[in-house]
Amino acid sequence: MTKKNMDILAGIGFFAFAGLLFIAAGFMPTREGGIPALNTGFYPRILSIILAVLSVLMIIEAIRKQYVQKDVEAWWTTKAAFSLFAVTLILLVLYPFIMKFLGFATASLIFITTLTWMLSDKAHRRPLVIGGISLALTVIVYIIFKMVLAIPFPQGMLI
Amino acid sequence: MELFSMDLYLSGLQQFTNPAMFLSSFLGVLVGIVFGALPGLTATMTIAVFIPFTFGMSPYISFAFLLGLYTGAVYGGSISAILINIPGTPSAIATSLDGYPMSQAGRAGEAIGISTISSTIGGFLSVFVLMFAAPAIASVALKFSAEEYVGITLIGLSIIAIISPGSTIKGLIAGVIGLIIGIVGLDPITGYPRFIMGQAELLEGIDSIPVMIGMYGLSEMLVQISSAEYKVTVEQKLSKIVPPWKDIKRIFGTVVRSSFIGVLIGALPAAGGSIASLVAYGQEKRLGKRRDLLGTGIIEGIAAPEAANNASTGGALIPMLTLGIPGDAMTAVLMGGLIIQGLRPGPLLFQQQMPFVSSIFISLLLSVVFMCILGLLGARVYAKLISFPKKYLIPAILVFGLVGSYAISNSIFDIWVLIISGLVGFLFRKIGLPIAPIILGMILGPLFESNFRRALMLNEGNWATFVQRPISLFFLVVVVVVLAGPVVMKKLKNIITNTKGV
Repeated sequence: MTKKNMDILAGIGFFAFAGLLFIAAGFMPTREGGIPALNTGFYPRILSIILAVLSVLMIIEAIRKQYVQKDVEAWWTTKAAFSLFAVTLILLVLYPFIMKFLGFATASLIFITTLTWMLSDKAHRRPLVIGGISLALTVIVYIIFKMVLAIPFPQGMLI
Repeated sequence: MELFSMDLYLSGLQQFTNPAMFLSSFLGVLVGIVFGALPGLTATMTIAVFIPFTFGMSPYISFAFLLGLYTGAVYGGSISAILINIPGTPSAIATSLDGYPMSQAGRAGEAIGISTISSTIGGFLSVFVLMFAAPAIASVALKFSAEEYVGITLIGLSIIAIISPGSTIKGLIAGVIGLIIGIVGLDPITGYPRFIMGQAELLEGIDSIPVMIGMYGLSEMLVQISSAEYKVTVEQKLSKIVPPWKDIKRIFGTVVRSSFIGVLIGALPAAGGSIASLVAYGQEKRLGKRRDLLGTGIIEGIAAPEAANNASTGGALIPMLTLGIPGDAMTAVLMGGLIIQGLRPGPLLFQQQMPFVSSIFISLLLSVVFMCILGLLGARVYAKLISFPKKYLIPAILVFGLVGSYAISNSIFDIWVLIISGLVGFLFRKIGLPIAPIILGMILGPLFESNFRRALMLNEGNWATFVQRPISLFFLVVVVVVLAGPVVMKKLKNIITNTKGV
């Protein structure tokens, strides 16, 4: 995709979002008469109009502008980078669930170990080193949040 | 006015009988330098990720730590700029221009020494300007009413839109998105819940801290993972670090000049360290005695940007503390840390929380002292730390973010806010939308809305009130000048060159 098209697309996206906000603001309670600023929908509606105007300006700017660098840089440089990205997201989403069921220290250890393993070059995956450093990092997190700050984490099955 | 009483400078001293103040300031500076020096971890991100560490601490100790982080991280960025030509934080961009050539010539230690001394002098100067300018501005700001606050907020949002990388329109869109995030929660006037999607957690609005950690921390890590940037590791050896007296004498003029530039630029709402250091470097190029050699690796080229970016720290705190309008993204995040402690920055802070304001001055001063000591003594260690593998750092920072977001209000909901903000931040970075205006908009949103609507209500819906009050009118004119200025200047230049050509 070219940068121009991406900017136009983003502009359309923001315009659509502004439209949704405008409509949603219309459903908020409104009193007839009186000062409009008193109504709940007043401020969201003003912001939606400003955003709509700006997104139209963004589209116009994109159409008129001469782009020096034409093409968008790849969002993921390699296939491996994409799969790492996906793994990170999955780990992030799983984290709160694991934290609830097994406890936050276990969740942190699983998160750090798995991600470090994935981020290491295949040739340099030394399980003991990765495991050791991950455990040390988890202990630091545990000491800071559980022992020093005494944050009440959900009671998981483990710690 | 009573705002200028000596109390303002001394009433915080009492807090410093507690050794924890020194310890937290020291730790803040140390952590700040290390994180600032690590490429890809910006000062803003560092502060955002560490704010959860300050929960439960008293505001005094919490701010001693956060200000230490701030000072340390802004300085630490220079270390990686010098050693590996990658600025650790955006405000060290200009430092690499002369720092890296010096490092290549085997003078890395000397370069770090000069950077430390210049940052220290810049930092000291900025604390003193802050101490005297802030109360004066606060006493003026006491007279502001709703209309003026609307104007100042608009100035902040328009400046940050202008200086953010990319087009101004994108910057403004980002600012409005931030304001829109601020809508979520109870309507400040009618009490009607807006866009809470059935979540009780959203009644008080989206918590700004997980959003900041998400947009700055998580999204930055996602960008590094997606572009395989985490594989770069470099090593460097350092020679002597403390610079000789004759070098310090040589850069003195540069440092003083650049420090003033730094404080002034830092004090503008929304213009922070990165602009300050670039402008100071530019001035050195125009006025410096050895300007022809700039860029080849001379100490003036390090002294100018480093003095300026540390001088901007105190400057940037001025609008944040006195008006509640952060000077840049870093102070926006700091302001988040202040609000979490139940303190509202603004002129009233100077009247009601004088010991706290006083302790901020002293803490900042203390952090500059620690920065100087830790900078000179620890340079060799930081140089080693830069090569600490990212494959450990990225997971650790992500876990800090996850646990920290949970810890804000012991709620898993905030972890979801973090993850969604991280993804949105990633998307916005990829489409070239700057992050700083979003954060500024989000933090200023609720204040902006209530002032805006209050002004209209008190004047029975008459919009003219914004231009009928002289100060408010002046602020709105500034907004127009800021936004239209660059376009008009360009047009004028075109006209002039065209007529010359005829």
